[in-house]
Amino acid sequence: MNPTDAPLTRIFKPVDLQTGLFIAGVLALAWVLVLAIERVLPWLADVVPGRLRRFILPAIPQLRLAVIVGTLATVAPLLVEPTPQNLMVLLGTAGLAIGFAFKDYVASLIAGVVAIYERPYRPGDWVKIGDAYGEVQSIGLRSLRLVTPDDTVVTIPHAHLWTANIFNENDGARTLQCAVDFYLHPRHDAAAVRQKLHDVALTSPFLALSRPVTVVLAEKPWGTHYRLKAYPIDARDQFAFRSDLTLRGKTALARLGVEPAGVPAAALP
Amino acid sequence: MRAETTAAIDPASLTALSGALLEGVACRERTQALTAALDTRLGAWASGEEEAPAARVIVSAPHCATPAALVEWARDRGWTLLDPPTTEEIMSGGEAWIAKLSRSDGANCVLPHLERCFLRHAEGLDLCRRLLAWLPARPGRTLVGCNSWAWAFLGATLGAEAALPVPLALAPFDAAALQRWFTELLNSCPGQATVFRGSASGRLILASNHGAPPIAVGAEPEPSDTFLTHLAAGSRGIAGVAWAIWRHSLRVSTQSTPGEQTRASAGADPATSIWVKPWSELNLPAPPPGTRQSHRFIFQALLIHGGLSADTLDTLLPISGALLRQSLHHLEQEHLIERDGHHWQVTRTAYPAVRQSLINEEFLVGPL
Repeated sequence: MNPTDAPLTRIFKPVDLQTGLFIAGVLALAWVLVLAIERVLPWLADVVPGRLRRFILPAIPQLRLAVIVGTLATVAPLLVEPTPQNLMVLLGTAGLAIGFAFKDYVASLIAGVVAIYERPYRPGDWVKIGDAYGEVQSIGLRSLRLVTPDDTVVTIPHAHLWTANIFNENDGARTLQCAVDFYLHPRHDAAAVRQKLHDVALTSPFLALSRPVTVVLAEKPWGTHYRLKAYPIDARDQFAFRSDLTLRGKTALARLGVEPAGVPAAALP
Repeated sequence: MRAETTAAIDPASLTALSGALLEGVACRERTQALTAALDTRLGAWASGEEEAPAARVIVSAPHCATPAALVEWARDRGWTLLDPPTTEEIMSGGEAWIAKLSRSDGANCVLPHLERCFLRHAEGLDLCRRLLAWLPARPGRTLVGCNSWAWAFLGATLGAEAALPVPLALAPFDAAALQRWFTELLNSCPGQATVFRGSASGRLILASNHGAPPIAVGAEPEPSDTFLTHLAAGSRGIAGVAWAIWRHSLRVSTQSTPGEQTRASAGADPATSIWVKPWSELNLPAPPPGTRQSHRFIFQALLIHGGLSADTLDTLLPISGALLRQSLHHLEQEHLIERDGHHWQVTRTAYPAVRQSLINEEFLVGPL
C-alpha cells in the first residue's frame, strides 16, 4: 500500500450505492426547494395585499440559506470521517485554495451572510450603493440585484458592504420620503406659498395621509428654495408621486402669481 | 301558520325578479324613521335646552338615507337649509359663499352635505377651511351632515374634529334590526302576502304581515335561516347597502312549491314565495386582485366626495382623460361603479369589497 494514500482514504468514508443515491436525492431535493423559493415567493408577493409584500420578500434569502445549511449538515457527515485530524487536514487544504483563488468571492459570500442578519438592505428596499439607485429585487449569496428607475438591473457584490456607504430610503417600510423642489423669485408671500404647497401635497391621491407633510424653505441670493417633503402610500409610486406634486405645485404657484427664480447654473445641485 | 321549513328549491328553476315584482316586495326605503330618531336624539339640543356645542355633525356611511332625513328634519322644524357651493365657488376660495351664509343672521341651519363643500384639489380646500372656522363661532345652531369618508379626510387634513367635536352616527343594523326593517318595508309595499325562504335550506327568513300591528323591538320571531346575520355582517350594518344586497339576492321560481299548490287547491290566496340565494353564492361585485392604482384612486375620490362627475374626476386625479374614461367604462362593466345622473358613485353592492380593497392597500378609508 502507498503510504501517501492512507491519510486521504481515512478522511473520506467509503460511499456505497445506497449512500450515494441518498446524497443525490438530498442534493436534488435541495435544488428543487431553492428553485421553489425563488419562483413561488416573488409571485406570492405580487398577488397578496400590498401591506404583506414587505414581509414575504425578505424571507427569500433566509429560507434559501436555511436549505443550503441543512443540506450541508445532512451530506457532510456521510462523506467525511469526522475525526479531528481529518477536519484539520480538510479545512487547511480548503483554506489555502480558497484564500488564493476565491478571496473576493468568499469576501462577498461572507458579506452576504452578514447582510442577512445586519439587514443594511432587504428585498423591496430602495437603496443607493455607489452610483446605483433602485429597488432591491433579490439578494443572492454573493451579490444583490437592484432594479433602477430606468428598469436596468444592476448586480452588486455584497463585498461593497465592507467599504461603501449604503443609503437605504425605506428600510423595510412600505413608504419612503419624497422631496420636490421649487425655486421661486424672492418677491412673493412666503406664508401663502408655504400653505399652498402643503395643500398641494394633501390633495395628491398618492399621498399617505398618516405620514407628515413638511415644507422647508431657505433663502438664497437668487430667490427662495422650497422643499416639499411627503410620503406616498407605496414606495414604488415615488416617481409618479414626485411628478404629481411638481405638476400640482407649478399650477398652484402660477395661480398665486408667483414667478419662478432665475437660478444661476453654478447654484444648481 | 306558515311552515318554518320546506323543501329546498331546484336552483335551475330560479330567475331574477322583474322590476315590478321587486318593487312589490322590496320597495324604496323611506326616511320617516330616521327623522324620528334625529328628533329623539337632538330635540333638546335643537330647542336650546342643551348647552354647547352650537354646531354638531352627523357622520353617515355611504348610501345612507341620513342626508335626505336631515333635509326632512330641517323642513319639519323650520330650520334654514344651506345649499352646498358650486364647483366654481369652491375653486375660488369660497369667501363670497361664506359671506352669503353669514347673512343668515343667527338662524338655525342645516348643512346636509359637508362632503360637497370641498374638492381634493389645491384650490378646493380653502372654502371648507373657512367654513370649519366659521361654523362653531356663528350665532344659532348648525347641524351638519357629512359622509364618513369625507369626515376621515377632513380630519386628517383640516382638523375637522376640532371644529365639530363629538360626531354622531347611526347605530349599525344587526340581523334583528334588518328583519324588523325589511318586514316594515314589505308590509308597506304594494303587493300580496309574501314569504321569503332560503333557496338552499328551504328555511323561513321573512314573511309579510299585512294589516297586523307593527312588531315591537325585541319581539321579532327568530328566522330559521341565517341569511340576515350574514347580511348584517357583510353590509357592515349599513342599511342602504344591506337593502341593495337583499334585492340582489332575491329570486323567483318558475315552479310552484308544494305549499302554494296546497293553498291554491284549498281555495286560499297563495302567498308569493320569494327565494333568497345563500350568502356564499351571491357573487357580489368586487375589485379583482392586482387592481390598478388608477382604479383605486377613482374609488377613493368617489367615496370621499359622495360621487363626482367625469369632468371633476379629470380635474382631481392624475389620470389622463382617455384613460379615465376607459377606466370608468371598465368599472361600470364590472358593476363596481354606476352613474347617478351626471355623477359616478360606487355601487351599493360593491361598497364592502371596495372598502376592504382600499384598506388592504393602506388607503385612507371612512370609519363606516
